[in-house]
Amino acid sequence: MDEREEKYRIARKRAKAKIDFLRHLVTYLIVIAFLAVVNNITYNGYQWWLWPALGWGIGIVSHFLSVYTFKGSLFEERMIERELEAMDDREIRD
Amino acid sequence: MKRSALDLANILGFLIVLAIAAFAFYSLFIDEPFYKASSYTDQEHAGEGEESGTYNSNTAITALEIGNVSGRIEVESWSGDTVQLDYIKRGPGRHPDVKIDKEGSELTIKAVYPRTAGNFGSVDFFLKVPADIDNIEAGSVSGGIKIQGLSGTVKQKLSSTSGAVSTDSAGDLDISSVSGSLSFVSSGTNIKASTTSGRIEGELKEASSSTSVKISSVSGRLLLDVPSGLNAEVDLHSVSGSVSSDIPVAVTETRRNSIRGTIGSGGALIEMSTVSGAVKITK
Repeated sequence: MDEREEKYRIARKRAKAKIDFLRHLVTYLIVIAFLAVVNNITYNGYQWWLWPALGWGIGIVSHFLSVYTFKGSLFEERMIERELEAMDDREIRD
Repeated sequence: MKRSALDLANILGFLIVLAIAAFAFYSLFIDEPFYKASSYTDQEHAGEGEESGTYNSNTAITALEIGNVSGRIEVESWSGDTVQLDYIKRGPGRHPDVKIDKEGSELTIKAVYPRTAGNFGSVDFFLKVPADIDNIEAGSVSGGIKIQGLSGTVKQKLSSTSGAVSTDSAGDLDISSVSGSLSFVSSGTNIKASTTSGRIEGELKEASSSTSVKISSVSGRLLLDVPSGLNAEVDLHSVSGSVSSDIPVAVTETRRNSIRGTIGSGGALIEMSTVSGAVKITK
């Protein structure tokens, strides 16, 4: 695999992670808005929709951190590269 | 670092989600913690018959607000400084919830109805409150309100759409109804009573030069009992009913069905007006 193909593969993987996050985000907003509307149309007392909004919101935060802050995909890429280099070194020694 | 439109959309969306989650956290754990007894909602929907419950504030209460839709509100004094509520939900139909919020020394009690269509029952509130509580605000749509045994310093705001409203001792008072009768006894300096089609019977326990009494109705009869030795400016008016006073009034202006004048040396202000009922001051 040449360098350009490798870059393309990494870029594709990153873009996919970001698009997946956007899908997750949009799904969250639609579902939580739906639950809030149902809650307040059927009953104006206890706001139970806040529970899924909070729980799922924590999930969204961790997803965001994995895509943007910890750069999980890049970390994984680096680990794979190191393993490949180690395998190459062993082949040369043998 | 160069950011694409996708990155910006993700970051913006993330901030929105963060705000929603923070709001949810604040609402559930800080503003009105679900695990604390200060906020209490009795959610009992299924009952068709009668269902009762009791709540005690456990801490001193100085201000009370009660809201009901269908059902009575009865308040009486007791020796404690807390507020105790006994309620009875009645069918037929699904029962409303009783929502109670306590914030410091202020207590709010409300009947909450689901917003779905269907038949719903009623709930009657029976409260015991400190006799010298500072303030009571009570409202009901189709139930009567009765306040008994409080001290003459308790500020009260009472309103009903179709039920009778009465208080046997109040300080400053704002009492109103659309189609129910009103009855009050007050020692306050600011008294307002109004109804559309019910009669109003009031008693003024004391009056000073700063006392202001305004009583009005459309089709109800108005009666006001005043203390002896009253000094007041009076303005009594009825469009089609009689106007009279058991106490001599030095009339300054007289028109058909109207009296404007002074009782004693003047001072307090008493205004009573109706369209089709009688207006009378008694002693």
